[in-house]
Amino acid sequence: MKCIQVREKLEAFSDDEIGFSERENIASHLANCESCGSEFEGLKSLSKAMKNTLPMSASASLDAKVFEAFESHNAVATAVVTEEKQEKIGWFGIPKLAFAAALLLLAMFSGFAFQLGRMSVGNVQENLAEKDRKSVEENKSKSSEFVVTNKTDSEEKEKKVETKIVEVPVIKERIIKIPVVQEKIVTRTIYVDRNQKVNKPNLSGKDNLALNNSVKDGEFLTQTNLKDFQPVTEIKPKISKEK
Amino acid sequence: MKREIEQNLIKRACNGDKEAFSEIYFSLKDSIFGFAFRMINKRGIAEEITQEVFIFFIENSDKYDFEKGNLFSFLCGVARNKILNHLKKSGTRLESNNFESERFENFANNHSPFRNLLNKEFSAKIEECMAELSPLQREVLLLRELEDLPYEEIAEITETSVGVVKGRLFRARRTLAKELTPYVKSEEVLYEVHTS
Repeated sequence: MKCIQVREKLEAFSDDEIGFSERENIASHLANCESCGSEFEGLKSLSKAMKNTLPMSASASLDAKVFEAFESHNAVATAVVTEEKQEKIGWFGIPKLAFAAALLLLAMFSGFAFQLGRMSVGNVQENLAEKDRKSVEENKSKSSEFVVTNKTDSEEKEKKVETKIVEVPVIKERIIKIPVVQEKIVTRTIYVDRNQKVNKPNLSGKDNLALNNSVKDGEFLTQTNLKDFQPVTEIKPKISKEK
Repeated sequence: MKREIEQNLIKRACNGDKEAFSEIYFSLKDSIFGFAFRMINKRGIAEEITQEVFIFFIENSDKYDFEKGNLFSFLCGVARNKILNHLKKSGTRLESNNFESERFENFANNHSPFRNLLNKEFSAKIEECMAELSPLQREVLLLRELEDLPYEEIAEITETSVGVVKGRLFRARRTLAKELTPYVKSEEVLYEVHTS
């Protein structure tokens, strides 16, 4: 190693902040080179002198102050902990957490009971609906029988005519869901010529209708009337029969 | 102090164990105080800063992250911020003449009068040279020479890179070497003469 290279790393070498291989190279150079060696010695002695002269200790009054602060902080911390504990115990000495848990359980139970009630009402409704369905089916079967018996009666009347068994399909009722027709709003724009002095039209009642009817294409009018376009609100569901 | 022992002590101190806290305090207070005092050169303010540092530790000991470094580095960083704030507020640099006589009392014990005189003069010269350095160079030099901290740790405390630490350390040592080398050599010679 050259002297310049060694001088660059001399401080790191004296501070023990250098790799092992480089350390060996620098050490061997210092053993042979007098000027680098003396510089290294200077660094070491300076560091030694500083270590010997600079350290010092604080006074005892500092210790007292710091320990006093420690004690007071501990006292405050314990007071805070006890306050927190007291806060946790809520009304009538019941801990808040337990109270919250009880409330939650109560809410869950009431919800469960409500659900049970709804289920029982639904069952009753279903039973009623089933009964209705059965009665309807019975009526239909009676009607079909009636048709068949009618045919047999006619055969009896015309004895010579060959008898034929006619299969009459059972008519079933089926409820078809009809989608609700959405309201449709139709607007009409009336243009009024700004140049012409026109009195403001009365928009209420028949006058307004008359005005709207009197509108012609190409005329400038400015008014809308929605009263004529009543939305379809009630549509009765229709029952169609499937063959 | 070993890492595990330190962690255990900190946990205990967090829970209000006075014994654990006193162990931490007595192992670190001189280093923190010495650093603050060398940076500011006023005992009263240095003690105040040391006190503030430990109070900060007492109040925020639960926030200390073990993985970020040892406790000394952490507290040294806190002390450094307080020192720099004080220097910024006061706008003063260290004055070489503003020494306090009590710092020489350490050297007055267990030595001959000649040796004491030599030490006093030499330490006064060191103080004077340290005062010539900028605070940023001084802090790096103090952390390296007094606390033997590695470059990386110094970089963490001073919130810089290792390269910057090396540069500051190099410049600080050059400045000191210019002034102190003759004293160091003469002191060694005188010491050898005196002891022989």
